[in-house]
Amino acid sequence: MSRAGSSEMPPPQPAPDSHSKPYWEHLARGELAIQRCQACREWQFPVLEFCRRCGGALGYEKLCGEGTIYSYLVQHHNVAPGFDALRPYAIALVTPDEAAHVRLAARIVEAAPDEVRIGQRVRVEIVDLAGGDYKLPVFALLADGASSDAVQGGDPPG
Amino acid sequence: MKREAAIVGIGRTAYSRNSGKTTLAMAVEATRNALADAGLSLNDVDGMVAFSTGDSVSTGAVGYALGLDGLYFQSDVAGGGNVAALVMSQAFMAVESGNCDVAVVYRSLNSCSGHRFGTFAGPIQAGGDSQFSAPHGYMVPGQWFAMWARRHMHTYGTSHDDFGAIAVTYRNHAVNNSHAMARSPLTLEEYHDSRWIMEPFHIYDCALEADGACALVVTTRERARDLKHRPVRLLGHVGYTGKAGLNDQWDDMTCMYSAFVAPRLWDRTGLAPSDMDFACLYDCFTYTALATTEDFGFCEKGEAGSFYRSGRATYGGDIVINPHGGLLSEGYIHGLNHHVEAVLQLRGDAGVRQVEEPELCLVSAGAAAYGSALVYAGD
Ligand SMILES: [Zn+2]
Repeated sequence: MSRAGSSEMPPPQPAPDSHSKPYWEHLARGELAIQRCQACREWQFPVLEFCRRCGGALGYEKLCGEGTIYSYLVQHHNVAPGFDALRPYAIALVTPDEAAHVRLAARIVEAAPDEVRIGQRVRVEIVDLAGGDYKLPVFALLADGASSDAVQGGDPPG
Repeated sequence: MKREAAIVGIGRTAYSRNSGKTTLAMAVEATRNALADAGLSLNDVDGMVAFSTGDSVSTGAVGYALGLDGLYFQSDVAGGGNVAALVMSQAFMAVESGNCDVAVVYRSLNSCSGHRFGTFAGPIQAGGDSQFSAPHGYMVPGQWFAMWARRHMHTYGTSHDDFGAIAVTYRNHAVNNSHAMARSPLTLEEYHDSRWIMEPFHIYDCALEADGACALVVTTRERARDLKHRPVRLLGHVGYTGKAGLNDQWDDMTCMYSAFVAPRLWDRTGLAPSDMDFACLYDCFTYTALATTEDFGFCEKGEAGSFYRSGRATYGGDIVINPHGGLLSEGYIHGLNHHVEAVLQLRGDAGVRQVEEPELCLVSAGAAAYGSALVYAGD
């Protein structure tokens, strides 16, 4: 047993199955793509074998890569191998522009954790995942990413 | 006449940071203690229910170790704190349907000395849904609830003072609980000065990992008349799982499973939150207690912080919530310890922390997208 994130330990690596393999293949080509129903056009994430709305066949389609932060956390305690040197780091749940009901969890890069806000606009960057051959989507804050609740909607009034 | 069931006995081990015991030894000890408390013998047991996340021992193994020839009703539920009320409901149903006459429900775990989040034997290969999160350093439950808590802060202006008020209230309750692991009083200043785990959570926002076991005995209400203690009845149970438990995909993180369970539970029992004399709310994190205090209707949405701060959730207020100190201060026996406290209080056996003549209580279990809750009554 060694403590998390010791320098020799790589971050967790994905173990794709037949349905998620295209997700990682798109990333390897520098594209962020998730499943979409070829019958009813519903976006779907995480992966399934068929559309959960209509039972139709799913294919992968590219996202534009921009979205809005629904929520976020700042990780201080070491809970994952390979992240010791990055602490504290921010992870956000990002709603992609095309799919208001989908949330993608990813690290926020190129910003101090205390700069991150709910409602901020973000854009994907695809980076190498250390310790293997995979690429990973991370998000950077957009320069004009003013906090905007109009984009989010959904919550009851405070 | 319909068979009715009741809780007739409770038992537990010490709750500690390092039990030095196996989950089997602790399950056996808690079960023996619960049967002795009830005034029943091992030979009476013909049913067993337990839950685990792959970190405990099966009912079959416990029954065997106790010397039972066999069990007529056996249920090993795969689940976390979200099923801690479901398992009690199962035991009641098993007795009331005649599947068994005496059912033992237990939870046994070494959540402190056993596997710890943040320790790894080797490189991690993340399959299934975790392949999309773990490579980002997003891989422990507290991170989900931190996302939910931050959203509540954004929507309602909820502050760290609000989370702190819950941690302080429960700790002050645990001061009067000799079975609790953390009994030194906590001030709001100490709360704010404590280290971050994952913002917005300090260490005091997180449940106290514990080693230990507890058990409850359920039999018929008729048989309970001849036993030692005032029995405890179940008035209704409701569980809910949303989005298959995919917490990141839940629509509105300012409300939990409890927003779906509460209206159905109050409707089914014909009761209201104001009827409850105390409540044991699942509190893996302060935010879980905050959101569920609101969802079950003890206060308005967005007002839980001031509800706790103004003393409405403690002795002399509207309702005593977590008189034992909860998972935050008594210890993380995965929520089954909340049911033990409910029985102690309803029997009038809670000693210096006794709630005044309680008749009804709510016990909740779980967090975020999945959970269950029930109402108990003294007989
Ligand atoms: Zn479809």
